[in-house]
Amino acid sequence: MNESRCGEMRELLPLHAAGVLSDPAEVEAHVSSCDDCRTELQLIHALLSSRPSAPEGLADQVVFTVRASRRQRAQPWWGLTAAAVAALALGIGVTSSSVAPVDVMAPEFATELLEEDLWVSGDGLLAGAPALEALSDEALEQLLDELEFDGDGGAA
Amino acid sequence: MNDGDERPSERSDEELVARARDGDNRALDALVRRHTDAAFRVALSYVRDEDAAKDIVQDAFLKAIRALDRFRGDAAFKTWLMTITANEARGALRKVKRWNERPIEDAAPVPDDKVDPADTAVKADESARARALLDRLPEKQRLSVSLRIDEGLSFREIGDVIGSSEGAARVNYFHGIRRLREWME
Repeated sequence: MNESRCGEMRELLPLHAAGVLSDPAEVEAHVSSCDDCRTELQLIHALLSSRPSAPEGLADQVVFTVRASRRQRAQPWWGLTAAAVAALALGIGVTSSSVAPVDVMAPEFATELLEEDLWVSGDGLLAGAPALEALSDEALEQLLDELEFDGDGGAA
Repeated sequence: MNDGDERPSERSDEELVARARDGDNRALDALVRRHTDAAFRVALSYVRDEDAAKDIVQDAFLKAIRALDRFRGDAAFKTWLMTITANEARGALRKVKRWNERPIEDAAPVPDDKVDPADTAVKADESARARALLDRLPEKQRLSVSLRIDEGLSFREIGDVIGSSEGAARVNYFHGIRRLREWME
């Protein structure tokens, strides 16, 4: 058997076994006449048929973990004081030095939000914060950067 | 078809990544479910312990999702995820080797879930036998064969995942296959 021909075919055997070749006829014709390649194809089929799958429930577990991680990463927004949130909603530039005196402006909804409500909805807006509806994710991030919080201030 | 009617599972990885970046959790879930099996197999190929592989898969997905904004799309998402998984697995192995004097290569092969390990007829089952023998190959040969056959990766992609060149991935694959054939005779 032509070695270079076998070399070409052997590269294709896994694709043929997986059923992804657009034209399998060439490989099939070769395998039918080449014991060596036919044996290799049988081995590949044997491996494919014993391909392990993830344990049941792992995907669910990963989904849960990833979502929880995303929720946690979204929370630093709410590490801001309610006053800072209100200030953002009003489009006021806020620095850490100006946050504290603005407590009296805190809207009621901002203080009553529960942790499980702090969630980034599918449209990219922060749930429970209708005042921020007009701001895009990029704008929100930019405003966050403008806030002079250190690592202990809450906002990451 | 209305774009909004298409289920996440019907979208391409590229579309799902773009949506996941925008905060679409259904897209994120779809990416996870689509690639959990492959990530598990990569992890298992390295550590050959199911529980350890599960932990690695979780860590890998967490890292991948956190780094999603930095994913440039030069490689397929699956390849990128498997590269992260392989890195996590190698890190886990380095930690184990620090504490465990027993060479990892001597570890018993992980039994296939579909096969009863107590069944002496296992040896007659070509598929289970092939899989058990695959597990005994040296690491790079094992990974090259597994990534080529189980995941359908190109040799270039295999090289990216395991940290070698395309040429080395090809050599490792064919050496691994040759050795398996010898053992199977």
